[in-house]
Amino acid sequence: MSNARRKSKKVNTRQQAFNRFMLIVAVLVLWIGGIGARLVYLQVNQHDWLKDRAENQRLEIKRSKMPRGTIYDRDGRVLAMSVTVKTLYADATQVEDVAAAAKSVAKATGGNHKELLKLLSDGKESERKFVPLVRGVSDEKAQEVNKALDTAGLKKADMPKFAGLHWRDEQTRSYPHESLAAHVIGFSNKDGVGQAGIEQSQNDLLYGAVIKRVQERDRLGRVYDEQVSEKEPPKDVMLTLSSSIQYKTEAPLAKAVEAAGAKAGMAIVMDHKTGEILAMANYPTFDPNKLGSITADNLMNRSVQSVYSPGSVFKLITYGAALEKKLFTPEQMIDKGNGTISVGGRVFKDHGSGGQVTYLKAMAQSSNVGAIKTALSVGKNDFHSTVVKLGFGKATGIELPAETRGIVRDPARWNGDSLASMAIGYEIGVSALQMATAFATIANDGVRVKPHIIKEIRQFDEKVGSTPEPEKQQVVSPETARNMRKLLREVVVSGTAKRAAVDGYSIAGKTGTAWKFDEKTKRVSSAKYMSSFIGMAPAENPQVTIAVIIDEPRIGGRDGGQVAAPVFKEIAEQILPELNIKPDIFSETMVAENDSEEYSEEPLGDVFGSPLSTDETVEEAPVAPSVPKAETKTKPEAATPKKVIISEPKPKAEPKKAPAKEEKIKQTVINRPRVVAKEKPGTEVKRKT
Amino acid sequence: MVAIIEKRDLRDFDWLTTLLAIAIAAFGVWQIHNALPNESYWSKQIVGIGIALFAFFVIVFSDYRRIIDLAPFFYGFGLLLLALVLTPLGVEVNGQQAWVKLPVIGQFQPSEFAKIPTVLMLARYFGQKKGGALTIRETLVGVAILAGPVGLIMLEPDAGQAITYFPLLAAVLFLSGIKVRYVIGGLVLAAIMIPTAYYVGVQTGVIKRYQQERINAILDPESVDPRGYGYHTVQSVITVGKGGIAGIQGDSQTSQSVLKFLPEPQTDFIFAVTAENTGFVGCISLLLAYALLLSRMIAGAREANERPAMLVIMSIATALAFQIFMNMGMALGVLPVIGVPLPLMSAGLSALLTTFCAIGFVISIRMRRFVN
Repeated sequence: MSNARRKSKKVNTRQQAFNRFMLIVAVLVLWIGGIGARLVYLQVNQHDWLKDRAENQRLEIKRSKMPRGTIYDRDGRVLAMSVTVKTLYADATQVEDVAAAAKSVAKATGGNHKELLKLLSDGKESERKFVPLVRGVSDEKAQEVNKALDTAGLKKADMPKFAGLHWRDEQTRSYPHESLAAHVIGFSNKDGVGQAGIEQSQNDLLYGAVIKRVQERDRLGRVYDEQVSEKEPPKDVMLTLSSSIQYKTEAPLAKAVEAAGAKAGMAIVMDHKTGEILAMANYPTFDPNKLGSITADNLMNRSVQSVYSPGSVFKLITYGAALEKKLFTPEQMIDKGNGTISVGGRVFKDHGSGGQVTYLKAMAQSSNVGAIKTALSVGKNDFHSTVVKLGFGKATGIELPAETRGIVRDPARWNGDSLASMAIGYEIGVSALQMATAFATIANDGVRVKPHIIKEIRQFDEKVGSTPEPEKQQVVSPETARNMRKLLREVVVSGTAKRAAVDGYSIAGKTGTAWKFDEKTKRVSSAKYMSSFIGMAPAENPQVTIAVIIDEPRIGGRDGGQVAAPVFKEIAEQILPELNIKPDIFSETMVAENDSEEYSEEPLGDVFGSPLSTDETVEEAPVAPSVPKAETKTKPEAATPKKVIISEPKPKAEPKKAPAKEEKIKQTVINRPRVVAKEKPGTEVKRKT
Repeated sequence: MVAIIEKRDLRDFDWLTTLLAIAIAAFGVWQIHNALPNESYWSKQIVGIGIALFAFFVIVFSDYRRIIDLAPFFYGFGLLLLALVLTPLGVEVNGQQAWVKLPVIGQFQPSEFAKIPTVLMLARYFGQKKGGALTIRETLVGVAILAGPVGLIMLEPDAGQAITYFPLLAAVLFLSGIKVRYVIGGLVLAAIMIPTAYYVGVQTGVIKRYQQERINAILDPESVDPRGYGYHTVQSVITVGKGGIAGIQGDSQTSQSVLKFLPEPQTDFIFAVTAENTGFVGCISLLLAYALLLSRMIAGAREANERPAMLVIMSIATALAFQIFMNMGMALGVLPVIGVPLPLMSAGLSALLTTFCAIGFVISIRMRRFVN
């Protein structure tokens, strides 16, 4: 019994041992099944995703930017350049010991320990991968920092050998001459995109190409495969500007604008033979290095973006059109009648008395009646076609952004008095560059050369591509141009622009003093002037054309002869020798140096009662200077086109001048130059005092 | 020694198991080469296989009974070596003093070798038992035998290696008739104790942060920080998955291990390397080879005519299975990363030598199954 029990127990023990044995086997089988299932899941179901992860974790896309192109002046002086600097940044997720890292960085860079610590710990908290620590570090300084931060034995592919710290190349734009030619050069924003001037218009050329590197790296960051794709490297732009002439243009302009308390000023120096702009100055100006100092007002390149009524300078076109039709010769007499003229129901009045004068004198005195009579004899269509041929009403095409077309209305839409108004520079909108180009055409014997400001495009210090020959067009005959210059010469010799005269050089030019359109009253207002002088030298064989426009002078003499002509003189005095232009007058003594006896021109002459233009609506574009919104991104308050109504001006407030007093201006010409050869010494000039 | 090799021995020599083990080791050499083709691990492993085979044959042609009789001596020697690790002769690697460097012999890992004497000691003690349920006293003796080496290993500290000792005892106890209620009680206790111990460990700081992270990497792989301590698991899973069905085939220059994304590819993560290079096909083949090896061993255990012999084989088989399970589980991202090498595959002379010695015992026992 007990034996049997023992036996059965033994069997049970054996059975139990076998069961347990098989249990272990079963567990093993289950385990193999589990491993297999997991393998299927990872290697079949998740294969694609995991493979992508494996490949992505070794890929790194690096983008670096080549420095933006350089802008040079015509002599190769740098006007705008990009400088590469480095930024030390931390990948906060890779920094283990924030305090130690901040300490090391502060020591290596001389930075503020507390600030660095705050940057790093904030970055660590929000797990940021780009925490800039020190910006604007030069290459040399970066190497010193690398040395100071070197951690022995650290496996890291890039410098500095310090866990979590990296360098990044960045670039800053530098304008070494600060505000010089700021409006032409413009500026680019921190992303290296041009926002104004050449920086904007030539952005595609200058833009720093992005180099994209797709790198395959191992865990230590060592690159074992790299694909580089890059865009065309940036090009450099060489301007026609001369820094020196630009400076000599800007300084007198700024001085005059300040002295006259004027709103703004513009000046353009142009080589009319080539169409090259040697200087283009605007005031107020800005320093492109200080983006914060830029305002809509000081950023505006008024020379090409602003439209104004030119006033008497436009008589150039009036007389030019008549000369082209051979309607007169300079010495011919013109009857000013009683000093007033009524056209289309409006009376225009000269400030001088009537009577017979030569065309030379009519121009020199800036006679409104003379100009209007001349325009009437030319006729609507011929006058208009001359205006268009000289480039008004369309953009000159200069390589600057947001250029205005100006305003020239179709003759079909003219009023009865429109031709008369236009003859003396109203009912028309021009830009300073258009006006200067018209004078340049006369200076260049009637050949209009398209103005341009880019001399050539360069790359790697060599010229690339061909600069197309500027468009040239014979607009008026050489004879017309020559006669025209004779008239212009007389303006400086005996007329409204005697202050433009430069010792040793024969200057020819024309003043303009226009009443500005007043936005509030919707009429031209005698309170605001646009005063200009545009001239050329030497008169007989001009080499350079200079335009000066002062917007709203308030202090002192406000008309073109008083405020703009002296600026012209100051510019010309300095740049004519620089341009190697030989003096053509060896001594020219103007007897009448008394300012009080000078001519002054009246913006509109006397206008009695009748409107300059009867509530004429100009729909084309605003007369007020404004930049079309679409073209300038930087100008926040670009004016929306308004309907501008030129309406009846107030009767002239200024008192009538005293009756004319005859006076002789003696001119002693020794070694009489060609220009003045035809002038009669001691020409009698009728003038008002 | 050759003299004692009899014809009968040769006839009963288990060629299949031996060749299987050598094949797996050779496959391992290939994978070690795949892992780090530019380093010398794979050639050292070949030398290691040579040495291991020599030891293997010595054991095969020795009488295991005599060795089991001498178990206490070997066990003592094993403890001595483990103690040596903690002396200045020990070499610290990655914060663990698990190695001993001796003149002439070179550097080795006593915690690997000590498994054999522990198995023999356990088999010797429990093999003398004749039927009936295991008493508490016997159980405690078994625990005490294990506690010696495990305690010393924990002083290194090498938790991964210590864990591999438990299956040795578990198999022996289980097969020596430990009461089922103790087994169930033990499992329940473990189910309660492990989370509790983990919690307490975290609170008291005994379980270090990296260990927590490694456990979290398994429990919640989505939220793991791939740059932190979960890195190993994440990279291993990526590596396995990248292999796909047939492996990367020839693109070894951009393998996870060559690019250093996969850590410890020649040892702990050799299975991930295998998965990447040979794909699902290679992994399943390897798995079946292991299964076949283990089944041959288990077959040997069933045929064993002595209780100690059966216990030796089952203890060894369980330990090997457990190691394979731990290592693959780790590589496949289902178990936390603990440094358990894959038997026969992972680079490392100590582990290779120990495994071949263990298989040597199995074959020796099988060869002598008819000898009484």
